[in-house]
Parts: sequence; C-alpha cells; structure tokens
Amino acid sequence: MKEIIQSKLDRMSDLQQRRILKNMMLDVFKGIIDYQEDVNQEIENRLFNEIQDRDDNFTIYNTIVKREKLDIVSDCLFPMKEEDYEEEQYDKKEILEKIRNNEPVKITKIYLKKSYPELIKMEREKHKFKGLIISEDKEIPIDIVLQHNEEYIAIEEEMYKIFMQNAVRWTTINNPYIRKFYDVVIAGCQEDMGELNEFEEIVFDLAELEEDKCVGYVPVWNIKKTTIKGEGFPLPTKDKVNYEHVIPYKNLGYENGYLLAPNQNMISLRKNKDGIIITSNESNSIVWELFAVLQENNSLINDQYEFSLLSNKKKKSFVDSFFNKGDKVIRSYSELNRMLKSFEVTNDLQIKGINILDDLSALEKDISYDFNSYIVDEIRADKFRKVLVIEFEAMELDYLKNDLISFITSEIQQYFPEYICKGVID
Amino acid sequence: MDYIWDVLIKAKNEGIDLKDVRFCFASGFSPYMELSDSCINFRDIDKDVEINPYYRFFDIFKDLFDANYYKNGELRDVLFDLVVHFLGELDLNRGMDRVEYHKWFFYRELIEGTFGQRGKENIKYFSIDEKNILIRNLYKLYITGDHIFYLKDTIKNIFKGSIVYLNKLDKNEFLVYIRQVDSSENLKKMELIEDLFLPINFSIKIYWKFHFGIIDVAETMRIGSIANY
Repeated sequence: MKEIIQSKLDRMSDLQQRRILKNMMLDVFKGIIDYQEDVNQEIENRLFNEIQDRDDNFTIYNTIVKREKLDIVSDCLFPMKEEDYEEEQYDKKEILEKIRNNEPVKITKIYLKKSYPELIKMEREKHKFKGLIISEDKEIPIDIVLQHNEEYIAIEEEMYKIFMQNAVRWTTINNPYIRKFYDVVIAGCQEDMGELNEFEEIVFDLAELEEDKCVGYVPVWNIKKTTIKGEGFPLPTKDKVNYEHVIPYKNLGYENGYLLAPNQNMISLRKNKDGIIITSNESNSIVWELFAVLQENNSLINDQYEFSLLSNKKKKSFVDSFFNKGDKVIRSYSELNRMLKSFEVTNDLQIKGINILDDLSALEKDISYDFNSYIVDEIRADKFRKVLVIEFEAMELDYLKNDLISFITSEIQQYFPEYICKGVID
Repeated sequence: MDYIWDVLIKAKNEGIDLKDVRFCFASGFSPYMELSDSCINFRDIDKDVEINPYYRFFDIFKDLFDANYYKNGELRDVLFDLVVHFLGELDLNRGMDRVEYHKWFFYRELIEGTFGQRGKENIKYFSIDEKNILIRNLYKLYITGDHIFYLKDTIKNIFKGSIVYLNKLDKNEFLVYIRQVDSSENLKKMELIEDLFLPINFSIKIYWKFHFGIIDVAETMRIGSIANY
C-alpha cells in the first residue's frame, strides 16, 4: 500500500498539491495503514498459535561433559545417572579376585569419538588390547576388551516408560552420545599373579583407538528430578473420590514439561496458571516425585559445550502442529520431507529419494540404527514388513552423520510402522 | 465484476501492478452499482476504473466531491484513488476465515521448503488458480488422510480432461491420461502433485497426449494415437 501511495504521489503534476497531499499521507494515512497491518498480523498470529498451543515443552537436550565440569552447568543439565556426580571407585581386592577366577571385570567406561560404521566394524572384529596391572614390584600384562555400554540406553528406556505412564507423546530423543559409550573390561590374565592383593594402577592401550577415546565424560540432559509437597482437595467422581493436588510453581516454571515418577498413584497430571495439578486417589498431601524437563534456559541455547548440544527440538511450523492434532497418517513423499524438516537439527538435511524393498536382505549397506529400539511394535512381525529405504543427500557432516540420519529415520519409523525404515547416506 | 475488490483480485491474478490501477469518481453512475464504468460489462483492467463511491461509502465520501468546490482537483482525485485502494485492501481481508488462514499457512510453509526442496521449486509453475486447487486439496488431505481421492481430484482439476485410473488388482498403481503434452512445465507440476499426494507404496504412470488403447473403446483405439500399456 505504501508503494502505491508513493507511486501515485510521484505522478502528480501540480507540485503544490503534491506537497500538501504528501504531508497528509505521510502523517495520518501511514499511521492508519501501519495500524491496519498490525491488526491483521495479530489475527494471523492468533490463528497460528491457536493450534500451536499444544503441550510441546518436552524438548530434550543432551550432550556429554567432563565429570569435573558437572557443577558449573547444573542449572539446566543434569547427569542421566545420579551416581555420575561421583568419581568412579573400585575395590582393588575384588578386581584381583575376579581376575583370578577368570571373571571379566569392568574397570571404567570411555566415550569413543567414532562414527557408527566404524564402531560396528570394531565390535565385529573383537579386538583384544594390551593392559598392565602395575604394582610396587611388578607389572602384570592383562587382556582388555571393549563392551558396548547399555546403561544409559536403559535409563532412556525408563524415561520412555515414564512418558507413556504420563500419557505424553514420545518424540525420539536425539542422543547419539550414549550409544558410543564402551565399558573397558579386563578379559583375562595369562600370567600368574602370585600373592598380589594390592596394586597402584591399571593402564591400557587402545592402539589405533587411543586418539578417539574420551575418558571421564558423562552424559547429561535437561531432566531434573525433584520432590515437592502438594495440597490435596477432594473431588468426587461418579463412583469414587479423587483428590486434586496442587503444586505451585515457585522455582519450577510454567514453560517446563512435567512428568510424575512411576508408581505414585497418579490418575492425571496437568498444568494451569497456578501450578501443576495432579489428580490422584491419594487423600493425604504427600511429597510427589517429579521429573521436570527444563526449557527456555539460556544455557540451552548458547553453544558453550565441548560436545555440541543436541536436541529433538521442533521448529514452529503450522503444518506440524496441525498434523499432530489429527490421527491420520499421511504417506506421501512430501510428508517424509516435512518430518525431516520439522526438527531444528535436521534442517540442512535433504532426502534424495526413497526405495521400497521386499525384505532386509535386499539392503546393500546398513548404516542407520534405531534410536527407539526399546519400543516394541506389538502388531506386526518383522518378516512381513517391507523395508522403506530413505536416501539422504550427501553433505559435509562430522562423525555423527550416521547418527543424525538414524535419529530422523527412527522418528519417521514411528509414523510408518508398516515398514522397517532405514536411512542411507553416501 | 461488481465491486472494488473484484478489480483488485483480478489485477493480482493477472499480475497487474496495483500501482497502475487508478480508481476515479465516475462522471455518471448508477445508484445500484459500485463499479460504474461507461462499459457495464468490462472485463479488462486497461484503463481507469470508474466507481460510484456512494454505493457503499457514502459516509466517507459525501463531502469530497462537493459540486460547489472546484479547487485542488488533482489532490482530491489522487486522495480518492488512494482511499479506495485502502478500502479495497480492507475488503480483501474480510473474507479471511479460519480455513483461509490455515491454507495460507500451508502455502507459506510449502514455499519455505518444509515439504522438501523440490516442492519449493515446483510450486512456481502453478498459476494462482492452480495453486488454490493444490493448497485446498493438500489442506483437506491433512484433515482426512484420503490420498487417493485428493490425488485424483487434484489431477482432474489442474489438467482439464484428464482421466485417472486406479489399478489395485495386482499392484498399487495409478494410470493417468492427460490430454496435454509433456512440456517441462507440466512435468514439474505433475512432480509436485505426486510428491504431495501419491502414497509412497503406489506408483504412477502418466500418458501424455495419447491415451493407451482399451479394446472395445473406439476413442482409444485410433491408429496413430495409441499409447502402449
């Protein structure tokens, strides 16, 4: 509209009249037009947000940090495992005892900065590495093997169950880090250890992996466990009495997602302006165990971490929230693209094409894995499912490339249960 | 065309710059019509559009063209033109409802590349009318989830006179006959329609210009214009 005004003014021949009209237009009329545009924008935003306002504050952020640095970031990122706050301890006697009995002993865990195919290859080759038990008077050579660490994946699985118990929609957690942890295990000792029951340290050499090993790192995420007391009010339903327990926000926040820890007699949990409201058949006002999924914290935006902060954060998209309201599944090629683009981390990734194969044996190379391996499809048997191969456009990415496409493939898998979804990238 | 907004919509659809549309006070007009061009059934916007401002906006314009006042003629003409443009823009927002906004959001995300890079590029080949058909059906697809219905409907509406056959007997396949030629523009359009509506477990075969032969259907069995299935 403003361009129209300018253009029409420029075309006026009578200069005096042009000046008068120009002043009128620039003062009053421009104000009116601005006002009108603001009003239109406001209506548009209202309609956009009407559908946006679903509960989408369960974005999970994760990275790994050095154990010594844990406290500094603890206002928003917490170790997945509480024991990780403390230095690893080991009982030397017990270790020696186990070696004598030929039992494998786990001594520590390490993070390997390697891509998924490299790790798979390493696991398949079952390398044995050299190590030494160093005591005052002698050094005893030992065999070291690496075993995939599953403990953090188990914690993530627990979290999945908690999401289900709280009836919150699950979005695949984009956490490749916990899938690259390995336990360092003493597999055996050829030499006789004699009467040894004390040693100074254990050293080991991972040969070509030495460069990529990171020692003393722990996975952290933005889930905080807290306990808090609520106030109970009885509330009758048709056949029983329920109680509403109100937990005021205080130092919690409205923007966060809240989940109730399991086995707490919960019927439902919701939020309103005053606080978190738990409906339960528990009549006493008790202490509730909550998981707060923290959002909107500055530390979650600033990239100040040694290993980049990854998340399953969704972009603000109309179609995405519109789609998630419905119960229909759209199975078009564009929809695959849309799912890919709906996350912030996958914004630059492109799909090159798709391919449907009859079974897994036809798959040439398998370079993606399932992030949600713990979610079991109870309806379909694998051998009856076709394979949906999603080819991604090759691009410059670091060693986490396979993990990124695995993440998005795992998310697509949730919407296409009739296929086994696999991602491929050159 | 009956109203100011008819003119604006037509100008927008035909790619006419709104700066070049000039509304002016009709010298003689019918009290029952807003657009009062000397040629009542005019269809092209190639000159000034004469209107009767008192039809809807008597309160606004009752004093602007007072017959006893004749100074500053050009100022009043331009002012009138601008105010009518503004009122017309307001008109254009009046018909916006929830569905129109939702479709607009779909369109916006399509041109931003949410539905893939190819969608972002191929949408350029659609005319405004065709975009409307496409977005309307895309929106409805996301509500109902019925791929096949909207695929057929979109092809039929965008390529006039086309026929869509569905073969579900031995494989999931669409056969489409389109009367037009396979120009690069048409291929791009078809590509986007496939991307948006075709379920991934279906394939599609398109016959451009020539229909494939069907025994006993004389129209499809003319020598020299049969495609092979």
